[in-house]
Amino acid sequence: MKDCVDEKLAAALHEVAVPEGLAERLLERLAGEPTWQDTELTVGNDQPAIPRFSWLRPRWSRRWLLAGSGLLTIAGALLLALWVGAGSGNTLSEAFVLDEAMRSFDMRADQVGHSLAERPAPIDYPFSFAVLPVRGVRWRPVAGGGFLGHNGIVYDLPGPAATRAVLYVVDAGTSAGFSAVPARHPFTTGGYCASAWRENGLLYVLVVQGAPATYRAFLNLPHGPVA
Amino acid sequence: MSDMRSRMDASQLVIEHHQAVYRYAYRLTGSVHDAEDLTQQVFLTAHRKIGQLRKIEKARSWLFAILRNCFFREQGRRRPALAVDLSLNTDLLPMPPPAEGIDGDRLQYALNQLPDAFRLMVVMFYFEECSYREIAERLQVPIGTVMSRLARAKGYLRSIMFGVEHGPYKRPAGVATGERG
Repeated sequence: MKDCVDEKLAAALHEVAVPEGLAERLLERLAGEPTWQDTELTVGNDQPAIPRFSWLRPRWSRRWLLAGSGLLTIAGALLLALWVGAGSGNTLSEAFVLDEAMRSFDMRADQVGHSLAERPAPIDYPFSFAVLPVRGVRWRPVAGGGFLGHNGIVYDLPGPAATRAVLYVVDAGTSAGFSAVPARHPFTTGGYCASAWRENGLLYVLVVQGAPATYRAFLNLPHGPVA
Repeated sequence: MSDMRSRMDASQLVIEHHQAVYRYAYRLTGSVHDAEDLTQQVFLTAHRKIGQLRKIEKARSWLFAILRNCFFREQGRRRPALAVDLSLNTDLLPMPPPAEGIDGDRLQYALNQLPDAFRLMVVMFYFEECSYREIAERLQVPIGTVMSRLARAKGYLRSIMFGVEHGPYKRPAGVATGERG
């Protein structure tokens, strides 16, 4: 609550002489300012266009927008180059192959393939010499678009104590860095063991559900010193 | 076309509010030149950020808010921030002769003696006619701080403007005794 003195002070505070021509100088200064705006017009059915308050963007916003667009373009080009390179080159790394093999281990697991004893597998994708040809092996084409984009087949290998193993056989493409035989010490994760190797121009990936010992039970490697 | 429209919007703000903004700026800065610079800064900022103004009827308080920000930013460049608990001892201040009316120059002189934080509250209270709560909300300080500072600032202003004839100033409710500077 303001008393009489407060009222006098309030009135006195408003009594300030405004310099002549201030408005003109301000308008002149504003006229020299560049503006970036997004004027919106609201048009009703029978109403005249109603100008809404315009949206002016400061100069730095435009610079940031341009810089951001440039960065996005570069990032997109890089991603495209990586994608095209990965797709056209068919270059597969071991880690990538193993990861994909274990990821797709359970895919189409319920699909019953052809018994190897009743129907031989396609000659283009033979069973590996490095894997024991256990009884009851079945084969089926790889699901979907193939394994890592390559055509091939999958051998389902029954193991002891209801363990499962899968052997992928696909076109190797230009994959490099793979050994010629499956590893005795496989890559293990999440209760799975896996290894990949190249054999006769094909890429083989063995994924076994279980410990490394179980994995090694599926191998058909010559006995000798462990490398 | 659209550029002309936006300029017209900003121009409307200038035409309608430049006097109030200048007066506010003058009371804060105490200088004709600084006030005009600050006023120009306010409208340039408003020109750039005019999209943030959603309601035209709020234009004046919006401009005042810009003005406060510009003022504090400029003051921060000029000198270190003043301590907010700066005490005012009116006993040590020169006492002008009592006046019947209010001398505008003397009022500005008294305002200039106040620390920025105190002066801003005085202007918001008298010029902008903000309540204690509004001042507290806009400056983001406790309302008790607003009441305390205003009481001391008003006491100082009265002592300068009216001398001892008007007696002790009326304290705002809630301000503890002994706060008088």
